[in-house]
Amino acid sequence: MFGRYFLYCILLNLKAKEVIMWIVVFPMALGLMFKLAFSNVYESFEFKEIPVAVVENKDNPVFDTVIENLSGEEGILKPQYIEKQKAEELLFSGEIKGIFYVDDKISLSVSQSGVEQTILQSLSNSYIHGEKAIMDIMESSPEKLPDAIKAMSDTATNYGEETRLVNKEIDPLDTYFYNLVAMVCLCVSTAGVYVATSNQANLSNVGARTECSAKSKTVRILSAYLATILVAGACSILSVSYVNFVLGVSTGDLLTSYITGILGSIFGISLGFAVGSIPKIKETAKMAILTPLSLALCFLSGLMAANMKGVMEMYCPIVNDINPAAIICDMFSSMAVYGNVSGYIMLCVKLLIISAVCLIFGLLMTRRKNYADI
Amino acid sequence: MANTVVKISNLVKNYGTLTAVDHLDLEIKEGEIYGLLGPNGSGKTTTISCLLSLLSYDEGEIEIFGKKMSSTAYDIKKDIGVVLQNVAVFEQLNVYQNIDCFCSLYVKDKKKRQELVWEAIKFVGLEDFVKFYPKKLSGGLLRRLNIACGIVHKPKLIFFDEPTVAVDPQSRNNILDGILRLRDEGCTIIYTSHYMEEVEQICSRISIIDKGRKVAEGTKEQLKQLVHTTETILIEVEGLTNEGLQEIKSQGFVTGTEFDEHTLKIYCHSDGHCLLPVLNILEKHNVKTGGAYTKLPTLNDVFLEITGKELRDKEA
Repeated sequence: MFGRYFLYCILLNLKAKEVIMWIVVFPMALGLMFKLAFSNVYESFEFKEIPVAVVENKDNPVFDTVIENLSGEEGILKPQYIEKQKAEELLFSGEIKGIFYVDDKISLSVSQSGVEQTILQSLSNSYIHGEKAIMDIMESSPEKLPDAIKAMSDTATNYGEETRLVNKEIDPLDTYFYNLVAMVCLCVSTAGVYVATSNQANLSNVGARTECSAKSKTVRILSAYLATILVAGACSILSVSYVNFVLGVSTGDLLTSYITGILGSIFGISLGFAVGSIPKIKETAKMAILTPLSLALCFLSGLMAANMKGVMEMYCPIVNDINPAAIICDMFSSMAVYGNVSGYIMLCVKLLIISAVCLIFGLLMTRRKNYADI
Repeated sequence: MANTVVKISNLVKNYGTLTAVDHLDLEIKEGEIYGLLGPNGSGKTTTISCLLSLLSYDEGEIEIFGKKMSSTAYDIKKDIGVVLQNVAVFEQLNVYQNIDCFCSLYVKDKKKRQELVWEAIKFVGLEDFVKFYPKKLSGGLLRRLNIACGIVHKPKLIFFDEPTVAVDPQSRNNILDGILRLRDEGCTIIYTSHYMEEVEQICSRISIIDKGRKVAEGTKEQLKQLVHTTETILIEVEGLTNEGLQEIKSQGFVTGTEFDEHTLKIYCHSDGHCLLPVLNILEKHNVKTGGAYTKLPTLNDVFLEITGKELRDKEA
């Protein structure tokens, strides 16, 4: 059905230097930079209990229970309950990695950045998120409070176990590499723009020529869409392989990692197609929108700061639910870290739904048979 | 009687409150090179876009090859070639690939497509540039590639929308010769241009469009009859008396004169040439004559007289 035009669409994508730069060269260079930057951390990091201080200005039995569960032989924390001044001296000297202040709210102080500090931040974020639920229960159903505290302690304990006992040990730095692949998937959206512009008379000169041809618009758009997915999918497979085999960072089972990359690419192309199909905006402007948008979504999922996703989870969890970069990262971590197949499938479905929304929007915009002006 | 290839009836196209095409009727016959002339913003490109079903229109009907034209009329589109005003090629593909790519939108058979692509390459004279990418081509070569992409599938009807913009005279001649050869091969051609001499050189019939309306139509000879001055005569004279000048002015074909001691300029309107009767009168009045020059109207004169001389871009 697609014939030679489909092959030329593949060739056009392979020869689009700026696209290849964004989805192959740039991520590889960035991945290498990550690897070099983190190499010292990797070499020196060996998981041990994290020494922390707890400064209690108020009683908080819930927090005490959680800390108790996270310490001990199988725990991840080595807490000491001390005065504020002493705690700050220990933090300054590097003997402890963080201070939990127990006031009306729990707060955390760290003096440096690093893997241990990131874990403490994640713990703090998780606790604050859970504490709100406890408070709600206290107001609505006080009789259920003991059960809720127990459940929270169990969750915290599970968190401690999960970080150590799943398919592989969690490494907060892996998030950067998951995000790197997510960035590749989102940056292919620039290639998706061409699917629309090269087939719409009101968007490009080439579009005007192809619109005059004897091949139906549906076939032309599908040819370009599938060809772009093929190339973008290959690029994401290349990126996943690069991360796994060259950088030595495991993304989990290779097959599911490749599937994640391909599904991410399908989303990226669909997003690009949707943006590309918007009339009366120049192609360069569309590119100028998509590239920063892709980077912004990756930023929110932790490309530049690994704990960003946790921060979003705390303050605006819906962003993580709809941010495709965060979904792609979750897909990697759900298989690589937790081995959660059903969770992975749910994330796949979620990403496909978002992709379908973009694709349908693009198709609705391009289905117009002729134009009011060109 | 040649078949009608394109028929436009009562076409109206509005852009908001602006009427770009205003109740336009056109009928183009098989084998014609039909010129569409008009100032900027007169509605030429809009008319072509409506003909190609790229633009929607408010009223009227368009028939091509006797069938109603629509955006999904692929059986009509397969016999149409388009050479757009702006070069429409892929920057990432070389000359051969570009032509082959656009040909693939019409022709499935690989062997036939190869033949057609080479034929198109030879037709526009790009044999030495098949591996070149568009960025490496000069303006003239790029225009020729644009033409090759539009005609590669051997269409019966071809639209040329200002194909010679920004090309050197050699390339322009090459392009115009090519269009005449296409006509000789049986193609019907619709040609728009700002260059009057091109239209005069190649078009068998011409329509002048202004403000979306057809203001004149016919062969170039018929159009020239529409202007006030069909011939301007310039003669160097010595000894012309007022009596002799009055006799010249009294001739029916003379519409005006200018005389400044040695140069006599006479504006005429006639079906034939007027120089001989003027010379006879001058001889009768013993006027010595030097050089005598006669200037027939060009299509440019016709165009300016019909559409006016004010700048149209100001209105846009």
